[in-house]
Amino acid sequence: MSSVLNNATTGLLAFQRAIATTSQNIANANTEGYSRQRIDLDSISPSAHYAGAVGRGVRVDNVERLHNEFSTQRVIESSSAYTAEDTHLNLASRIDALVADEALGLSPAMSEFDAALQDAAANPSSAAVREVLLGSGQALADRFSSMQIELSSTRNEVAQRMDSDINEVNELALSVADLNRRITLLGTQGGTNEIEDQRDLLIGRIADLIDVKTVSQDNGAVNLAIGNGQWLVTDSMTREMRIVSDATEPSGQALQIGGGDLWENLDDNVTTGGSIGGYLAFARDTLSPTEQRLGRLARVVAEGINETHRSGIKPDGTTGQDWFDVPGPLVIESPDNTSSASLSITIDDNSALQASDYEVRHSAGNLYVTRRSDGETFDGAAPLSIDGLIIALDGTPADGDTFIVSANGAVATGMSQRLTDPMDIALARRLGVDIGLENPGRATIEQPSVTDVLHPGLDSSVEIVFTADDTYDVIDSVSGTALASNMSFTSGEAIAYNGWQTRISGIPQLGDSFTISPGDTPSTDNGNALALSDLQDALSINGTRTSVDEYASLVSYVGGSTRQLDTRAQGLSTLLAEAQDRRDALSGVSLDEEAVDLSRFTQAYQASAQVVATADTLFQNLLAVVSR
Amino acid sequence: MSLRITDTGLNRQMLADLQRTQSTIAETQLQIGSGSRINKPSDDPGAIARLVDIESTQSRLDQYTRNADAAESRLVLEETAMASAIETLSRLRELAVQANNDTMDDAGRTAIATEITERLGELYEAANARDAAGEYLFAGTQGSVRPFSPGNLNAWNGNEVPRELPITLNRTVKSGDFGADAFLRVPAGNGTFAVSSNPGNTGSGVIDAGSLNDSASFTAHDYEILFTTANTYDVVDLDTGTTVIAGATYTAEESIIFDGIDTYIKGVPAAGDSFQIVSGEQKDIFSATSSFIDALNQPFTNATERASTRQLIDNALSSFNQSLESLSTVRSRIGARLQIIETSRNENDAVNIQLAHTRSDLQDTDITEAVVRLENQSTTLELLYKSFERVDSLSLFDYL
Repeated sequence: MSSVLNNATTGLLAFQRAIATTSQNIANANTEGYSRQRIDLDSISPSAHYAGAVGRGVRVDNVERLHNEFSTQRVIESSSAYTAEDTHLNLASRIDALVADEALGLSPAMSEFDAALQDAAANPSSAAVREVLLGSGQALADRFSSMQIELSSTRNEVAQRMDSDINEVNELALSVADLNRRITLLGTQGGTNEIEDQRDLLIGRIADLIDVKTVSQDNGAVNLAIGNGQWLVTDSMTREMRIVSDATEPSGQALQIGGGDLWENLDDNVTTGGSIGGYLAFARDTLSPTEQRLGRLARVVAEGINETHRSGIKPDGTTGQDWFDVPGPLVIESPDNTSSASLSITIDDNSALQASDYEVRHSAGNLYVTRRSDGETFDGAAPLSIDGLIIALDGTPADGDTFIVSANGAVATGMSQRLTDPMDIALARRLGVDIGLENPGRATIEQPSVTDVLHPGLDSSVEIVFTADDTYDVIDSVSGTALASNMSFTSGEAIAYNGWQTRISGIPQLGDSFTISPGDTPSTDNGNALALSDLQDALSINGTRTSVDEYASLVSYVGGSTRQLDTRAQGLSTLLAEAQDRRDALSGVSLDEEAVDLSRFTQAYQASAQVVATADTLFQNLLAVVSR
Repeated sequence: MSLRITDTGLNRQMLADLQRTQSTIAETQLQIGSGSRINKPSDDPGAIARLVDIESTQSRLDQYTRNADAAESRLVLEETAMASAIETLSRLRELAVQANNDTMDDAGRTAIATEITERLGELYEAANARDAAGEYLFAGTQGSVRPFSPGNLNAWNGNEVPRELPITLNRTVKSGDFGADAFLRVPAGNGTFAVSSNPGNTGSGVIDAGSLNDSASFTAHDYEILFTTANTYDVVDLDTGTTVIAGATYTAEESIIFDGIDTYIKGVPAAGDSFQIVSGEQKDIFSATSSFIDALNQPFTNATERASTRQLIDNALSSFNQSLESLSTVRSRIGARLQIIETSRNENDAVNIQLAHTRSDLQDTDITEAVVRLENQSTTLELLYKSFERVDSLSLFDYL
């Protein structure tokens, strides 16, 4: 009898616990990171084993946390990958919106500048037209710099967000270490289900910041590692992450892990997950290429205009000056350099410039150069000519001295219009030509073009005189000295002296003369305005693209990579949902299931209570018999 | 084994579906609202590059049309100036013919001279014509300096640097002509050679402007016809010193032909009289007119003086004819350019229409398709709401 009562009591207790467990599940149906729990019941063997022996009821063996380390790990990994891509996508979308915006994009400004140039060409003596041209030059420079400023401020914002995310990683790591300590202390005692859930949740948060690897220890602790397996949490110990400025890194910053005086660098390329991975990928794959290409475009456009403008003539008869100011190439010396030597960079050919920085390392008299955009290497003794740059040494560097050369970096930010007076715009050609009025022949001469703007004789007046129908002399008309005599004439052949070049075609006659001299002043010529406008058609970028093509290609590059990121982020979010479903399939709470359990356990509880009642009845019956 | 379905999973799924559908609806709405299916580069990275190119080309085409307008307004003014110069010259030629009439007396010639002086002013006006911005049209790129000034006949202040403007993607047009071509570089005489009589002649012989009768044997040398007696003459090539014709007998108005040149002398030359023929000379229109005025103002009393005046009037007549030809050449050049401008404008329009078409193909939202899409997407959303309501209201607890 007592065994019936005893069994019923164990049943009552067990199902009470079961109902409690169910209630815990129902209560936490919406708790983030909660793993559903299940009660494990064991029947109790009879105290003595013989035929007909009856067991001694039921026992609560354990309240099990339904959890699978691997499916949790997959959720963490998928979430880390998705967050990285999503962070990158969100930042790239801003650049995407920036580059083609009607009000902010470059191509309308370039078109307006060109239109103003041609209006000036149609009406070179109008002060109003010059004023408009100066205004659109200002707008062009502003557009370049405001676009670059927008990019820089995005870079700054990313740096700030990265900083705060790193702090969060550090704090979360401390919490994980603390939970590790509590779990190992409790050891085999059990009852750590909720703490473990909490720890998984924290690890998930870290994974959303940076990709982290987990290693479960036998003592119940979980160790965390980031980057190339560099540990962040071991049992209850932690290390810290930090970000330090490092000029030799492409981003100008380096991620480090460590503590006290011991720090090691984290490789940017293996830090691919979480929002920090997203920031790094954005800076490397979207922001830097955009900045580099924008900077190169600014340099090529501004310096091309400057060069042509310098070969033109202003209304007052003097030659044009630089139209735009652009900063020169930048050299950054590594703080680890042991000598005080530096590099001096000159740009030799704008059309060969590449959208990249260069890392230059000195060793035994040679320079070893790596182009960062594609890792291409060059080496040789200074001065070294690479991609339109001439890299020369300034002083004697020590072996291992490292420099970063940036020709495009912040060019666009610093672009500004130098001209302030509309009368400083040189719309006229440097050189004009006069055909002798009494020329007996009917030969025509092409407008001389300037081939060497620095030639000292460029501005002297030169006469080409035909000494016979097929020979000519070239005479400096001021000094009277002959530059050449009795040259034989071929129609249409280039005639080049003093930094200019022209062509005479047709049939000249003895006595014909042509005078090439600085453009007459005051001039209503528009030749230089047209030459400036023609720059738009020059294959000035990398020798293969016009400036408009380059901008179109940049816009399309940004659009293309944003779209790719979008596609990838969508794919990753599907993977994440799948991983979450898999984890939930095991660990998630299903209210319907809990309802069934609740009803099942209640019924069992009621049944156990009924057993007590039955035992009581039996007992009463027995008492009645005995008392009679 | 099928996966266990959990309430959080179900809700997450539902939420994701709702968000996705709502974002596609937002996108379709933006496409309909903006009329453009590309609202940022990532919407179609390939098309955006072409759009940037097309927009840049379109803005250039608009500019070319403006350039064409600017060039046209200058050329029309040039044509007007040319037309007025041609009219003036035709009148001058008429007056020269009139003055050459034997019945014209001194007073009549002086009257003509007065009119011609007026006409010369008109000619200067035409040659110094200006455009709307006040630039001289026939001064090359020296447009702010008056190119021709009376009293300084040969001094031209212009230059021969063309003023060009692009008017299509691959064509430029000159929006100005050189005054030198129109007014200064006029071939003297009949265009090939010019004749003159020696001012010291004592006879009344007058040499005709002549013509080229055989270009193959024409040497472009200078010649002198020298009367050795009153009725015999020699023709000497002044360049080589050789005598081309020796001792020919003079008959009035009979052709004198040598080295491709065909001319004649009329009147009564005296022994020792000479006539010159020079080749390849050029004479500007203003000095030709001035010397015509001088000739008209020269009264004559005898046959010799009369012959000399006649010779001058004859020569002026030739000059006017040549000038008319020069001006007409320049005028037809201007006409041709105006025509090119018109053609170019049409070409630009055609290209622009083509580009606008391509652009619209690339960029514009197909409204019908978008509206149908929006309809479908809204239906999906509605169904999602309904199914959410249904699923959410299901709970076993309701049945316990």
